Formats: sequence, structure tokens, C-alpha cells
Amino acid sequence: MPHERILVIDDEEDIREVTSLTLEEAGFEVLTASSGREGIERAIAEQPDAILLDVMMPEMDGPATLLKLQQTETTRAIPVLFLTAKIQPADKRTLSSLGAVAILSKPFDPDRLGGDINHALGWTTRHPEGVFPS
Amino acid sequence: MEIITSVTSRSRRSRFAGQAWFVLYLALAALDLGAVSYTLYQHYHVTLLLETRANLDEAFDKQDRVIHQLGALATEIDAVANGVEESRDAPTSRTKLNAMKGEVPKVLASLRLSVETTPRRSKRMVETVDSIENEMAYITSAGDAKLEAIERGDLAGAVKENARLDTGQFNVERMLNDLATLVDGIQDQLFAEEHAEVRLIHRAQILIASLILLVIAGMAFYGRALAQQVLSARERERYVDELRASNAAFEQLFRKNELILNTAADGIFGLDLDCKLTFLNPAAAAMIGFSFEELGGRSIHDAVHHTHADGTPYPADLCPGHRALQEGEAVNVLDDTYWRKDGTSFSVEYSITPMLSDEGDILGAVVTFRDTTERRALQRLKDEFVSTVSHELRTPLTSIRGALGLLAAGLQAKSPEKAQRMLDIAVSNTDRLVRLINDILDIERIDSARVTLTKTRCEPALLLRDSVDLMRPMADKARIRIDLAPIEASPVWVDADRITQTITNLLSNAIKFSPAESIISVSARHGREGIVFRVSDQGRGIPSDKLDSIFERFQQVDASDSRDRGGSGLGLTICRSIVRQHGGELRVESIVGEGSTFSFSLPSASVQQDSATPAAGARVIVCDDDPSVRETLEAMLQQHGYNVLTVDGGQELLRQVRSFRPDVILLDLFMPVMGGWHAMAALRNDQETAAIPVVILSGLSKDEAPAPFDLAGWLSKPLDEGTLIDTLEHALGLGGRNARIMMAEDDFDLARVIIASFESHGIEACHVATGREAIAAMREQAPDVLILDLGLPEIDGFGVVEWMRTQEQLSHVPLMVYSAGDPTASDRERLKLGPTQFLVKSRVAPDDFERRVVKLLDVLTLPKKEVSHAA
Repeated sequence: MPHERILVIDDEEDIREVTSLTLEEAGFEVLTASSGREGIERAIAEQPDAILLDVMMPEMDGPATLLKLQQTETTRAIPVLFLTAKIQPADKRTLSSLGAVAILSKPFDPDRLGGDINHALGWTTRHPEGVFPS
Repeated sequence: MEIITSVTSRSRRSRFAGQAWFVLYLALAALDLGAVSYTLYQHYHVTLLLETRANLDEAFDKQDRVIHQLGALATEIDAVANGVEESRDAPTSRTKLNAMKGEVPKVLASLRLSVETTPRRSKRMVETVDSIENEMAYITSAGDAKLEAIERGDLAGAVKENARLDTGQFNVERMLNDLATLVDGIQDQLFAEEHAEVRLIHRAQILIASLILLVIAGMAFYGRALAQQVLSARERERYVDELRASNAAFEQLFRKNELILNTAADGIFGLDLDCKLTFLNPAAAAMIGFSFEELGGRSIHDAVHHTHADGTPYPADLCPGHRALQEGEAVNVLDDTYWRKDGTSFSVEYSITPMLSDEGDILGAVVTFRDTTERRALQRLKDEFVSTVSHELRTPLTSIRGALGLLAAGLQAKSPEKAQRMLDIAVSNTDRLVRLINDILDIERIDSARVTLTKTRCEPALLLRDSVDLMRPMADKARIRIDLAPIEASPVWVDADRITQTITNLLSNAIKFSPAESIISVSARHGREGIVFRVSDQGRGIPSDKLDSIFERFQQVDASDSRDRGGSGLGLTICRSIVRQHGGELRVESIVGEGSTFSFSLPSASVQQDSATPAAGARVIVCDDDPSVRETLEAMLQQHGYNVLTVDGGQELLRQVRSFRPDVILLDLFMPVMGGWHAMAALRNDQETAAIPVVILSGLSKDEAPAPFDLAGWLSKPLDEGTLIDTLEHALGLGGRNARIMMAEDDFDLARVIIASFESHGIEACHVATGREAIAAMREQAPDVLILDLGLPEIDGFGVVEWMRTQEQLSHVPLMVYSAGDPTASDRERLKLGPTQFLVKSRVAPDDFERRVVKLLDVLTLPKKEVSHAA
């Protein structure tokens, strides 16, 4: 069974790295992009199964990137999850109206991030016992 | 006014009632006068009657006497004739008879006279007198004949004549009796008449007595009515007085309310039951753009509340005002929209309070509203800031939490290299988090002015060299050269640590954004606004659209690379705050691809010293238990030319104060052993130190610790140098007391209103009601401003000014003259003293009045030279 491929779009290098490692350990195949523009290009080119999208990014922020993905024929069907540090109630209200599948909070628990993504997307959980099965 | 009119008509009514009483009384008195006159006339009549009766009685007595005389004469004649028979002495009898014969005609004449003069004599009486006359003649002749018969010795003849004599005598007697009876009858009749007359008089007297009683009663009534009228007039006067007093109180209340309404910052308007406007204060009119006249008769809802913020119509029956007017319940609305006359809208919060009558009927409502646009904008800014700070803190935390989470789950065993990388990420993000937290706290403290800048005289060259030395390692690492130009700038008046922080921050930015092998140049030169510091790099520059926003919090040109370079996004914001606290401004010029130049100016120390001259040599005691505060203040004050003594507590202050003789004392409130208020009480109790102005120095604000004494000023810690110096100069300039206003005004109500408004501004005002009092009070103490009513009792305004001219220390007192009418040009000349203002009572609103006085007072805070110049 092939691994689901997730595209992580985040301008913070450290966060990209930690998130990638977390998702890889959870059994996903991970692609990364450091800006909205690069993310869209990779999404079109690579057709990931889901996109994990940061909100606060310079130039093209999360909502703008999501809109572009929704407007692009080849990426319209790809589910998008926001992963954001903007978790004030007002921010969450704004984000929830944009059409993302879920809004996940930063900081995240690496033990649960994979499970949350699977849950949000209705995928079968492959590692119900945790990231590192003994 | 209306009330007074009704009083007048009431008095008219009562005067009219008084007139009716008076007319009634006059009628009674006239009746009484008539009755008395009639009685007097009756009395006169009776007197006449009595007089007549007395005459009559006399006449009747005389008649009686004559009748008796006649009777006696007849008897005598008979007796004489008889006597002759017995004594035979005829000659004697003849003599007697002759004498009687002589007597008879006289008596008869007398009888006739009296009968003829008798009132109401009857014919019968005269006939009877005639008969008596005849009979008397007969008797006389019979007596003669008898005597002659006797003398002749004719006894028979004598006897015959004697019989005739007897008959005659008998007839005379009878006739005389008849006459007497007739006279008696007349007398009785007269008596009866008189009796009737007297009875009439009695009746009249009773009538008069009754009338008099009636008049007295009338007088009593009239008197009572009169008394009542007088009483009611008095009562009316009192009523009018009370009315005047209550009118004055009402007027005062009205003025106060007007003042409150006019000066309130909130919009206030009144509604009647139909939601129509009843009043509108100036703030409300300004906010909605409508005047009262424009809204008169219109529903206020239709005018300013017709539409929701989203543009949908707002039906009047859903308006909270409608509910308040229907149900009489107060309503508070925190978020709503009002529309201005020009069609724009603004967000408001408002409260509607129904006005209820004593019976609980709803009369209308008062609406108080506030434009919340600014507050909402501020709230949005705050929310954004919190959201941003939260985001900025969560970002490094995300890396830390994720990395540690992976490590905790056993990454180390599985992949040591990846584990090491995760540890590195956790550590560097922890550092970033710490820097971020420090910067956030720093900027908060600087912006809220809780950092006391310790300014000293600093050499720009030293400041720059220290900063460059600090940044040299970082620059070397990036292979960037820092070029420090030769500095010739004069000293600056700054907090050295904070300026070094600013320069190093700018250098750090320059290093971060400059390519290797480039040069950063640093300089300080004289400029228009003081000493200008510059940091220029040859980096990639800042796009022109970002030039303004780079100083805002968390605004980086490019978040990703700035964070790679370890910035918090707050550095420039902190730099700008520090420079602004020093009275300068941080600026940037940049060309993309060529480099950026950050510059800021700082005031030179010499300028500061110039402004310090007014206080030169003034003696200050600083009393604070905190040594750092003492040191800081001492340095600051010495820099400004003050002669400073520091003491560590109240007891030490009291020990030193007499020998040091300070011009002003800076006093901390909370000190161990003896606190500020204790020390101050001791100072005030000693005559020698009571007048020294005291400025309080406290962590509390003035409102948090109400002062039991008059203070020359209040400084809240942390101290700002400018405020400190201003406060001290003010304290010295005014001799440490509040401005004193004297108000000479005989209208106590007006005086009270105006003095109350001064007091609300912390201005001390004393009131005198007459010119004499004003002069007496000014002899005691000269006021800083005299507010003078021209029409004062005893000595008028002109008199007061003339007297003041003669007094050396009062001849330049700022004066505010106000009067009922416009003073003429010559009046104005006569009244001019120091700076003088003329006001006409009716044309000046209380707040305007107050503003002018405060403006006059501003003159006082100028140095004394300028005041006398202005005068």
C-alpha cells in the first residue's frame, strides 16, 4: 500500500523540518515548500494527497495560497489543512470559513499530529498505537 | 415669570374683595351718621318741647293760682257780706268789699290773659271765663246790694241779697272748677303727647344703639378683612421672596445642568413619548451633525438610527428607545450604529434612561451616547497585537515542542543524527523565544514610560565607540567592516545605556542585511535638531512601500530571512521608542540594492543647560529612602543648576531643613520610620518651615493618595525629567501655593456657581460681597486675580480699583471687570490696572468666564518680569 503524500507549506525552516520528521515517522511521505508560491507549484507538479498549510507567511499567506489552490483546476480536489499559531477565536472564525478541511494548532504534539490528519481526512489510522511501534 | 403673573392677579382679586368690604363699611357709616343726626334732631325737638312744657306748666300754675284767687275772692266777698251780719260793722266790710271789688277786675284780667295764652284753649274755656266774669260781677253787685241793705237796715233785703250772693258764689266755684278741669285736661293731653314723644326718642335711641353696634360690628369685620389683607400682602411678599429664592435656586441648578450638559464629552439628548427630540447637548450635536432646530419635531430614530450597520433598515418599533419609552425600563446598548446628517455612520454605545413622573408615568427618556469608533479601533489594534504576539511566541514554541516531542518518543535510539538536529532546533528556538520575551517586555516598559531615563552628559564619540566595540565580533564573523568617522559633535544629554542599545541594534540590523566584505559607516554630526547619529550600510535596501512599516511591531521586510538572522521583529520598534523618549525621531532612507541609512537626532547638552538657567542656584532637598532615586534625582537636578541636598527619610529631613533652608522639597511618601505625610505635618507646624513648597514624589498617583496638605506639585514615579523640571520651576515660581482668585460679587448665587467651577479646576477662590470687604481682604493678602463686579454695594468697582492703584503691591493685579452693561471708554481707562479684561454679564457663559480666568491665570505662571511687562 503506497504511503499518502503530504505537502507541508511553511516559511519557518525549523518548523518545516520538525513537521516533516513528525509526519515521516507517522508513515507519510512528505514534500515541503517554504512559501505559498512554491507550494502551489509543487502541488500542481506532485499532486499530493493532502496539504498542510501555514497561515502567517510573507508575500502570499495561507488563505491566499488556499484560494489559489481552489482556483487551480489540478489542485482543487486536494484537501487542505491549516497548521497555524493563529489560534485566537477571532482568527479561527476567519479561517474556518475558507474551505479548509481542518485547522490544526501550533505548537502540535508530534504523537498526535498524524492521527489528527488521518481523522480529519477520514483515512484509516495506520499507527493507532503511536508514531514508533515497538 | 408665569408664576409671578398669577400672584399679581391673585393680589388684584384680594384688592377687589377689600374694596367691596370698604364700600359696605362706608354705607354702614353713612347710615350711622344719618341715624345720629336724626337722634340729635329728635333730642333738640324734645328739648324744645320740654321748654314749652315748662312755660306751659308755669302758665297752668298761674291759672291755677288765679282760679284759686278768684275762688278765694268769691268766698271772701261772701264772707265779707256775711261778716257784716254778724259784726254789724258795715263800714269795715264796705272797705273790704271795695278793696275786693278793686281786686276782682285785675284777677279776672289775669285769668283771661292766661286762658287766652293757653295752648289748645277751647272756646268753652273762654266762655267759662266770660261766665265767671259775669258771675263775679253779679257776686260783687250782690255783695254791694247786701251791704247796702244792711246799711239801710233792710234785713230782708240783706237776706235776699245774701241768697243771691250764695248762688253767685256757688256758680263761680262751679265755673272755676270747670275751668280747672279743662286746664287739667289740656295738661294731661300735653303730658300724654310728651310721653309719646319721649317714647319715640327712646325707640330712636335703641335704633341708634343698634346701628352703632352694627357699625362697630361692621368695623370689626372690615378691620378683620383689612388685617387679612395686610397679612395676605405680607404673606404674598414672603411668597414672592420664596419664589425669588427658589427661582434663583432653580436658575442656579439650571446653569449647573446647562454647564454639565454643555461640557459633557458624551452626547446627551432627551426624547418625548413620540421619540421626538426635547433637548440636545453640544457634544451630541457635534457627533451627529444635526442641530436641535434641524431635528425639532422629527423622530430621532428616523434621523440618526434608521439603518443597521450592514445597511438594512432599522424599524422604529424594534429600536431599544421604543422599548424604553413603552416599558419604562433603562436600556444599555454596547454596540450599535448612529448616522450623521451627512450620511456617514459611526459606532456607538448608549444608554436610555426613561424619565418617570412621581406617579410612575413615563414622560420621556434621556439618551447618553458615546462614539466608540476610536475605542473599537484601539480594541482591534489590541486584539491584533495579542494575536500577533501569540503567534510570534507560538512559532518558536512549535519547533521546540515538536522537536522535544519527537525526542521524547524515542527518536534518539532510532536516528541519532536526526535527534541531534532536533536538539539544535529546540535550543536555538528557545534562545529566540527568550529574546522575543525580553524585547516584548522592554518595549512595553519603554512605551508606557515605566523606564526612567537616567540622562547624563555624554560624548557622542564615546557612545559610538562603545557600540561599535560591542558589535565588532558579529561584524568580523560576517566579514563586514565598520567604519567609524572622526566625531566632533558636542556632548548630548542622554541615557547612555539606552542610546548604546539603540546604536547596537541598528548596527546588528545593518550587519544582518549586508553582504560580506561590505562597509557599514557610523557618524555623529551637528544638525538642525541637535546631534544627528547615522548608521549606513551597503545592504540590499528596503522597498519604499515598507519604509514606514519597518518600525511597527513584528513587521519585517521579509519574515523568513529576518528570523533566520535571529531578530524578534521588535528591534526597530524599541529603537524608535528610545529615541522618542529622548525627544528625537528615528528615520530611515534606503535605496533597494544600494543600502539603507538609519539616523536619529539627540538634543545637545548645552541646549539643556540653557533651559536650566531660570532655576539656577535654587536649593532643593530630595527626601527618599531609595538610594537609587536619590542619586538619579541629584544628578538630574545638579545638571539643571539646582543646589541639591539628599536625605534618606523624614527625620533626617527635619534635622537638615533649618540649616539648608531649601526653596523647595521633593518628598517621598512611603518611607520607613517617618513617612512623607508625617514629615510634612512637622514642616507645616513649624513657622519657619511652613511656607516651603513641597512636591510629592510617589509611586502612587495624586488620585490614589489624597493629599491632606496644600502641595506645590505631585510627581509620580517613574520620573520623567521634563515633568520633574517643569514641576519644580512651577513650584518655585508660584511660591508653592495654588493661584488665589478673589471674587467681589454681591450676588451670592452667582458667586457660588462660579467659585464652584473654579474649585473643580483646583483653583482656590475667595468671595467678598462688598467693596469694603474686598479692600479689607486685599489688605490681608493680595490676590493673583481679582474678579470685580462694578455694581458693588458700599464701595463700587471704580472705588476698589482707585484704592488698589494707591497700593504698591496691588497696582498690577490682573483684573477681570464685569458689569451689567458695556463700560464706556473712559470707564475702561479708569478701571485699567494690570492685565485687565472686560466682560458683560449677560454675554458670558459660565464656562467662557472660567476659561478667561484660567487664561489670565496662565499669565501668572510666566516669570515675574514678563507679568510686569504685560502690565
